[in-house]
Amino acid sequence: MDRDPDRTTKEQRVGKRDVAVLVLFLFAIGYFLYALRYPAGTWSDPGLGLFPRVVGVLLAVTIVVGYLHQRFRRSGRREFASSEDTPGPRAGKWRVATVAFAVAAYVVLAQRIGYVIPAVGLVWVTLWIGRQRPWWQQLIVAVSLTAGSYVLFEMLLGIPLPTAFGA
Amino acid sequence: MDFSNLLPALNAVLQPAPLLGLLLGVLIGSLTGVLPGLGAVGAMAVLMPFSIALDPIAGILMLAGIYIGAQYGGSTTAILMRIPGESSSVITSFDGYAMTQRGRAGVALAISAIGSFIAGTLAVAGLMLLGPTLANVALNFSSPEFLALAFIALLVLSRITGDSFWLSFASALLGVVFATVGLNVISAVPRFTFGIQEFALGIHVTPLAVGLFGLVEIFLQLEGSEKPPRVHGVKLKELLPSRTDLRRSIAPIFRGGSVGFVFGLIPGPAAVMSTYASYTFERRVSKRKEEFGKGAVEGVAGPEAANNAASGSAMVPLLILGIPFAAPTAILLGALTLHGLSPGPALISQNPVFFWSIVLGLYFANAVLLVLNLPLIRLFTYILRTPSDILMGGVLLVTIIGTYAIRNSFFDVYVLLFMGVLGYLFAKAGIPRAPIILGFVMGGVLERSFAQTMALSGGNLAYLLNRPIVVGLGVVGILVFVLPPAVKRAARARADGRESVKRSAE
Repeated sequence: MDRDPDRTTKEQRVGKRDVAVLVLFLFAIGYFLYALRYPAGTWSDPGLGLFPRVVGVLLAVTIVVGYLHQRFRRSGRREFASSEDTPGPRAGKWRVATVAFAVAAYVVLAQRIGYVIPAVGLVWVTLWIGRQRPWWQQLIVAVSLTAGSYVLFEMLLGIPLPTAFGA
Repeated sequence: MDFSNLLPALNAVLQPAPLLGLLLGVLIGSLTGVLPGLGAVGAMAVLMPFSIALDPIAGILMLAGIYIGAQYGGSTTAILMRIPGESSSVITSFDGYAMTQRGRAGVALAISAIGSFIAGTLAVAGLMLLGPTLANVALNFSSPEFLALAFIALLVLSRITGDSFWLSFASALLGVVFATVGLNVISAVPRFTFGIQEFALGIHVTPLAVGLFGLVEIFLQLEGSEKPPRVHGVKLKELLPSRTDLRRSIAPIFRGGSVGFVFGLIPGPAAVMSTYASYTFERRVSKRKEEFGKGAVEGVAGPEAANNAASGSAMVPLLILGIPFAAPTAILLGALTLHGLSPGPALISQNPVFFWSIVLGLYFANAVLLVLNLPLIRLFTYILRTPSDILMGGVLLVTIIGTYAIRNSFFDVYVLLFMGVLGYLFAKAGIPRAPIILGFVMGGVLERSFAQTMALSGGNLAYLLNRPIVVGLGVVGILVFVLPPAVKRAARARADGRESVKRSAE
């Protein structure tokens, strides 16, 4: 049975929103509980923990009210839906996860072996998932971009790039 | 009104570094606007760390140039390809692209540039006239007024961003939460460090802003990886508008400029909202209503003037009150802080040359854009053919290098990645990201003024009702909060009524 694509999109988005709202709510509760570690002082002489407690409570209440409000007007239309929140294809999410992982790997490696090789790897991964050119072109572009960035930032602008073992 | 600092400011702007910063900024901004994807905020965030390599005037002018340049650039793709490079160019694409299809792309681009220049000039004149007066008023502000202003700004912004006020406000509060990490603004005692030494210094504005805007845009681009669309070419001789085009555009330009200026003074995505307001107004007052959407030059002139005027007047709350009302000015506030400057009512009296340099720089930015952008249209159409994967690879490198370079800290790059993933998840769930950065940059002001207000009032918030400015701000806040939905509801009811009359007549 065919499903209305608009409806699917909205359902998926609302489903994602529910998860996001739940995570945010748990975060607000955790933040508030952690803020209890700090002295609150009094209202006329606020301590370290008073403002975070107020913000934590406000955040939790806002999320709960927002969630209830959303549930009661789900049939309402979105007027300023941006293109950015349309769900992408599954392959798209895989691409994003790969690049996020590549950035994390870059940070780990750059601390040990410096800028150049991890940067080439990071750019190559970005080009590889784009699948717009053969692997040897991807490699040439990755090396060129890294070399260009090294010359521009390290040599011309004097911005220090990561070195091996912080040397 | 004291303009005695204009000459020293002019001298400060006409130095090689500020001019270079300005030129770089408007060019990068134009390119950012032309290339669908990164956006003005993303580009400003990515380049914010590099702005500190320049002197404060040059660095801030570079970022302000990006902001203004992106409004120009965004309209280029909106007109030539019906792909708005910026959200503030969506409206321009209606009539701009229709003009392109009729072979009038050059005229649309020229009117857009001329309108933007005139409106930008109006905004700078307004800033010059309004700035010192508003600063004098704001000198009477103390902590209760700043608390009210910052809180109302967050509320109003949340009201008009995204489709749910509550989620937008939660987003803003999340920004405030991030601001509480590290040294407390009152007692300088660290909080929420979780035993991690780097957290003691707090979350830096750079990884937060770059992650939420720069990295997220890269993620969203990679997720889509769309093929580049066809680009219409434009010849230089086609850029000359006829006398009729100019005559039809001049009033919409001035009206759009005025609408944009007013919108820039209130919290929210002023540039975007002002284009909608200007377009609606132009269609209402036009004698050729039927031409709108089919290539009416007024539909390009008004909105283009509006978005540029709004970008200029958005500097008023930032520079005079020290409170940004939108994401781009929040990033500018972050950059000002990086340069050790604190904008606010005292900026004009304590650092007049800086203030007037920024005002003059904004004017020059508009002039440079007018002179440069039209001849560079052909170059922009060529750049539009840059393969997206190469572009994203390059931007990703710049993003990471910029974040690392601020404090030579890998920890900041981890924060960047965290914010990027968080922003991506928010984007997928339809939760706006702009309020996070506003909440973050206002977090310090909120906490400081909250503590001082509580101390002043002896813990009794009813004390705020004895402060006339706070009450006045509250009334303005309520009006801004309540009026737009009421107007929208009234317009919808009127439209429904008209439809039912039409149906019953049939």
